[in-house]
Amino acid sequence: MSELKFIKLIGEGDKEYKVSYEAAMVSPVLKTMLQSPFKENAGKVDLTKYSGDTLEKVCEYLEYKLRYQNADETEDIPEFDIPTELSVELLMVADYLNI
Amino acid sequence: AAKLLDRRTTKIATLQDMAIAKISESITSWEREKDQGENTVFAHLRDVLGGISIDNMNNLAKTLSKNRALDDKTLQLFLKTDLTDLAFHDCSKLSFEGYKTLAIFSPHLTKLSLQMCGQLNNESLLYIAEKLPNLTSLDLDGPFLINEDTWDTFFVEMKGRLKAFRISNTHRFNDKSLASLLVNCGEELVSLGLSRLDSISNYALLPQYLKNEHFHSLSLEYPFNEDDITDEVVINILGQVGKNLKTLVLDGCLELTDSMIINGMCAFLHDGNNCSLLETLSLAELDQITNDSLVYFFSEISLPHLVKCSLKRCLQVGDAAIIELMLNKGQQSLKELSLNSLKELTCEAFISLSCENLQSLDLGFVRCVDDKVIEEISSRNPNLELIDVFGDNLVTEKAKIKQRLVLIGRQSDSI
Repeated sequence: MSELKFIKLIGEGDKEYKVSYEAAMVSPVLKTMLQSPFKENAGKVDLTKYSGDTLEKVCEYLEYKLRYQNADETEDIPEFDIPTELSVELLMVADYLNI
Repeated sequence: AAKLLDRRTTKIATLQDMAIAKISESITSWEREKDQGENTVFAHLRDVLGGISIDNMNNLAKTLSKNRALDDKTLQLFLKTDLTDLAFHDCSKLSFEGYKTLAIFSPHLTKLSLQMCGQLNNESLLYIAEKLPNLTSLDLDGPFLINEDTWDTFFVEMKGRLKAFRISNTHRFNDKSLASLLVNCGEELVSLGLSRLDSISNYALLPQYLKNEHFHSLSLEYPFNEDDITDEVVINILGQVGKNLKTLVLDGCLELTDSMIINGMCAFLHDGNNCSLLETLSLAELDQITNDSLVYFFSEISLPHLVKCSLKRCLQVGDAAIIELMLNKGQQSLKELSLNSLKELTCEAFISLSCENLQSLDLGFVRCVDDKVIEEISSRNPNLELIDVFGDNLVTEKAKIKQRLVLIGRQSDSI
């Protein structure tokens, strides 16, 4: 399935949020889903239980993690900001995606 | 440690940790500036953090427990709600003050489960009894600070209210506490669980007090002295409450023999027409029970509601019991079956193993299981999702199984 460049996370109200395939691989859950023989391997993951703002943040985190996870000692890692009002929902979706 | 094994050192915190840090941080900062009335604050807090529905509360509790992040601060997320049912799986960081606040600000609770509640003390337990007027079900794991007097006071306070009680992992709950529970609340109890209680020996008290005709769940597990739970005790209990029993768990009661099954389960676990309401039957580690009694039980008593059955480490049980189980009505309703370590089993047993609704099967350390057996089982059990095959070294990656089925513990899938 590696020809996919982007994965779509479907949030509340069927809004789509794009994240690069590589970044999605950061989440073990997404990884398994996307490599499985199930319908998710078409590149769409249904997360309609969660709001759009939260999913946007999730995508941001996945890219952030991908970008900095192999950063060496000298590089400055910027802080990842979590808006207070999203923290609870974000915790639950993060738990689900195991990130 | 997982990271070390992966030879990966990453400094990026997980999103879960970050979110938890944010939640605690905002609770702390907001605590400092609070000047509103106590009544609105907790609701306000949830709004600030993005709002969370009652349905999601228990999911949140699970997530926090899993991250070991449930403490007095995060506890505040659960206060002032209409929640009636709450389960915390890891309370090790909750202080006694935390339990008190929980009791004061969640007056609607009817069912409460506190696992690893080591810091629960006398005062907070009494608070729970006093401030939660609707509480009917309590499940405590590890409440080792509670002393004998407090248990007594607690059960007196809960008289007429407590319907389900489960306690595990404490040496402070002794025979007197058990007697107090039974004398005060015995008549109302419909569900009782006693597990790993080192100071209880007088299980013989149970039969005379468990009288409620709606009693449905009994679990007696891992007594400190195995000879405290004898055939006679269990037979007497079943004689009182067997008719309506839905759950029977006797794990680790090593003294039990075939006599318990024949004179207890066969004699009393039915409604008069040899039909039982039993949904969960767990007899793990009863190494004295044999095929003879189980075959008799499965052939005599129809178990049309049986969902979960565990015969784990019943070392003398062999093919005949499994074959007979497959002839029972329970074969159609069964969803979970554990045959872990039944070393007497041969391929014979698995030819008959065919259940419409079976979802999970534990075949760990059943040495005769090989690729062919797995293939057979995979094709005969349409809804099977999971088979445990730890220690079955004849199961290889060559086993042909259907797509939705997962094998766990294969040697060939080493990390």
